[in-house]
Amino acid sequence: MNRTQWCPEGAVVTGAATVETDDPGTVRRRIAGVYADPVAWLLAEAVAAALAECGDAAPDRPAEVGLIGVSEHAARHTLRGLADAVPRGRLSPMRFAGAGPGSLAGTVCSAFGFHGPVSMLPMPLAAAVAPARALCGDWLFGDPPGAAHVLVVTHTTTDEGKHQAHCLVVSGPAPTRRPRRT
Amino acid sequence: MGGFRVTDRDRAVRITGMGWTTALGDGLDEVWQHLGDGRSGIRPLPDDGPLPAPAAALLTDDGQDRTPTRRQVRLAVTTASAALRDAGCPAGDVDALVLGSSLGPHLDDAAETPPHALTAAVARQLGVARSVSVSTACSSGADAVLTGAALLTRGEAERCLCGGIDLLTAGKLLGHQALGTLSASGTVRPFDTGRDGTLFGEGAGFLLLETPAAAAARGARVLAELAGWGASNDGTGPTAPDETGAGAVLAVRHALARAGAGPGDIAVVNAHGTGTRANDTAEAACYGTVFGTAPHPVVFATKPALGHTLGATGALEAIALLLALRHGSVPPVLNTRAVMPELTVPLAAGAGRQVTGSLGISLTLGFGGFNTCLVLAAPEGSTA
Repeated sequence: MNRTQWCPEGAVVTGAATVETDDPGTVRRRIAGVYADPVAWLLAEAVAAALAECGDAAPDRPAEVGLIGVSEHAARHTLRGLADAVPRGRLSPMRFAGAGPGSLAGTVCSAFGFHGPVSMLPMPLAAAVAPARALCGDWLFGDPPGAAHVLVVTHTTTDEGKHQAHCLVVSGPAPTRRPRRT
Repeated sequence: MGGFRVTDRDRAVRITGMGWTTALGDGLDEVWQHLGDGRSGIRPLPDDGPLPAPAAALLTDDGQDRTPTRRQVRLAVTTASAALRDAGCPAGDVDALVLGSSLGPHLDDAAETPPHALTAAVARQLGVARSVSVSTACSSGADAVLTGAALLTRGEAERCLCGGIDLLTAGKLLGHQALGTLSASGTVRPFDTGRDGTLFGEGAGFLLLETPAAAAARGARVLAELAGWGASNDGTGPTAPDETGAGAVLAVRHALARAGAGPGDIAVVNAHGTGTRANDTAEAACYGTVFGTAPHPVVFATKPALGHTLGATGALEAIALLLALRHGSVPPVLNTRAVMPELTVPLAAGAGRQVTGSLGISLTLGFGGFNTCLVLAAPEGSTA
């Protein structure tokens, strides 16, 4: 993930992380009893790792944290399972709720309690750079800003079939900070 | 109220064209007239039909012999083209198509096709060079507008065609049946004490957004200013909204701050108003907190007439809000008889109301905790 590409001018990257797995279905669920597409839990792992990398610069106020999810694959695993079940005339309500691409971003927000602006772009990464950067810049530098930090979380698959999730913690000009440890 | 003016701020976003396709038709004035007359596009569905719901607002197109994917692409192209015609703008002058949809046709058709393939197909058929896909459940249409506005204000584009679309399929209805969101009585009653769920519809809506410079350069007619926008997430879970309305309040307050407006400046609210217990409770709480003791806006909702059009609803409701500002009136909210006491703002239940003022908001809420608010300002003297 090219940090410069995704980060709007004037903002800084305060944390970043990449996680990779052969099978997102093996990634642990961060909310007990809630079904989410496996990719959602993979994105949550990337977010947790990126926030940990932020150290003292980690966002401290959930209402000031925005999130942009990007994945061309999105919730295809869940969609495919449900599509197979439609002819049988019964769908799992929880899986249906987790089938929309937006559920990936919504699940991450639930897992971490983020309340800032959130969007999901179910599209190829290269084409998503400009809109994601625009949203990130709009939220960080709007008048007034909608967020002090924006997490840009992307998911892609490699030629070898591995699933990779990347997270950038992008912070605006006056981000709130976790109290400095002494 | 009534003193708000469309500004000349350099970065304000202009709306210069719009188009919609609904169960009540596809003409801007035609559908508005039908809404004002209290007509509904919701019809009972046959018990032995392919759609498992008591009633729905289906489009009267010739789509019976088409796959859901082909129908969706065709409807998006048709409706987006209407918005471009309304704006008098060639597709080749548009920098990006921003298309929002919740589930699209993916449960019933082409589950292997990535969502963006459909957006790209629409852009290709229109002749728009770039395409952006947005999916935030039922907020998708509003978030497509918000994304277009961000592209414009951040200098990534000068003109964006933004909208939402969703068609009804058996898969979507089976899912909502399983979740218990469908009205058992077969009637959508927003903010009614006896509300028992929602009914779904099909639709598409598009708006052309331009920077002031781009609009001026081609001498465009300005329909309205997108004065502010805001989004938030409840962070509560996959389906139920935060019934305290706190998440929605964040989105509305941010949108108002961005517009440089206060609650007392708002003349009209296009509510999400699904008629489900949870949504209307959250929304009523939100309006109570935001508007408090301010002069209250008139609230209206179109789902009893157009059905809940899922990913299209945010775009359709933005258009309805713009028409309300333009005409200085809102259509009646059908079916609501006993307004829930938690709703402390006046609802246009049963009869249309006059609108005095030029600033309005549209609020959409989506599964996954998405809240999106758009603030529209009509040019002074634009009342039809």
